[in-house]
Amino acid sequence: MSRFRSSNEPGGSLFLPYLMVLIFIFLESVPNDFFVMAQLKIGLYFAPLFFIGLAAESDATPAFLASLGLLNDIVSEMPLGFWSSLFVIFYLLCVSQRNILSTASFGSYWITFAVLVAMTYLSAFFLALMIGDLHLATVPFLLSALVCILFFPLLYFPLTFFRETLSASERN
Amino acid sequence: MAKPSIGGTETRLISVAGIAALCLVAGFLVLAIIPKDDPRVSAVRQLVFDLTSPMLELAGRPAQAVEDIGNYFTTLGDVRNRNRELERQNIELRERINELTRAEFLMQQYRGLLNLPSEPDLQMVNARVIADLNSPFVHTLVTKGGRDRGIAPGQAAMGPNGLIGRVISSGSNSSRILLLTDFNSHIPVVALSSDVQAILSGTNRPQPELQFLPRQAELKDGDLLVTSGRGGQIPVGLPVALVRRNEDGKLTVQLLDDLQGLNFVRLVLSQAIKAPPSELQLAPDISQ
Repeated sequence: MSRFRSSNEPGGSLFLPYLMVLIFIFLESVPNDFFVMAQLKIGLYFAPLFFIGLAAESDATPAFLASLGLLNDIVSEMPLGFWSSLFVIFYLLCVSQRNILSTASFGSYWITFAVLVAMTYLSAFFLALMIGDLHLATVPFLLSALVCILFFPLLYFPLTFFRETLSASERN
Repeated sequence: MAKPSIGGTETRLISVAGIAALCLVAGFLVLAIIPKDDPRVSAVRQLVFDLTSPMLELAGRPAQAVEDIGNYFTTLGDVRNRNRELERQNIELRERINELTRAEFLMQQYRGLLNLPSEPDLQMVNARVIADLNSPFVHTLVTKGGRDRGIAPGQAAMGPNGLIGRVISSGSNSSRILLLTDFNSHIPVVALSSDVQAILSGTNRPQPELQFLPRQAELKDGDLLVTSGRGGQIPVGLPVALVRRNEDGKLTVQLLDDLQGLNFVRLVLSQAIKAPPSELQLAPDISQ
């Protein structure tokens, strides 16, 4: 069983990843000039989505994720359906890796995350090509994927800590 | 590839996969059917930003505070250099004011002689940027202040030095601004020195490009581009960009403002000029 899955899914253990997805969707639009990142779409929400994809047992999970994607489409000024489709694609990719990652180390998680994010960004690239009025700046787009992958450890450890703490309290 | 099993039962897997497939198909359908600039979608977007604008403003404060702290810890040397630069600019600006006063006087005289209508003064409001939606796909900003402050779609948005975009929608307390770099931005401009007209179009890259430029147009490096006022919405004469010619002789455009990291914008409260009635509409009047 994956370390992200508790015995009695779904429940409060996925509350934090869902909340983080929601926060990161809005946080991406907050103006900042700490980095020259203004043109990057980092997609910090992919890390909590990865956790949801590996752990969520509910049948409604894809619908929840599609709804969150729709919200992201609205907030990020993208055509409706763009991010909602990509969130579902990312979820399906995560589901396909559940058994492989059941006893994996942090390194394996990171590599898997990198591959899945790269595949999702590739899907985004082809989706953008298919949509007529959506023009993509390729270099910032590739950098966005890279930064998203590099940020994974920053979110992995807090999310794992929260999950393990919650599991321990549920056992007690 | 490992067999994905959710909850350990096959039926459940199919169920979740089915739901996911349905969501995916629905997503693609929505993507294919609803256009990006659908007015209903735009209204929903505006509503979301109206509702979340206090939260976005709050979320932006730590970043602003860190920036302020960074500005506070500048060295004495930096302050001295800055002061010297400002003094130099002050002398230049005083000279420029004298020239402008004379030019204004002459302009009034010429207008009187030619019986030309006078251009209305520009009314502007300052608005704080609360969301920066720059991404590889779109280049827009959300500002605090909407219809409550007279902001309306189509109005020009100015940065510290020149035009940065135009308002695409305004809600009760927020407005969305399409930046000049966005692919969907097209602004009519004119070169101040040669009177050459063109359309400045965004490319989703840092530099927009000039389109519909006449073949015989002769633009020099450093020529200032200002709004031509064609279309009736954006006032004439707002500074936009400088023409640059690279080593290959190719024309490029350098915007007067850096569109990244803008904290405040000025919005020109202009009224759209209504198009004259069409001939079909006029026909009954003429017949009378």
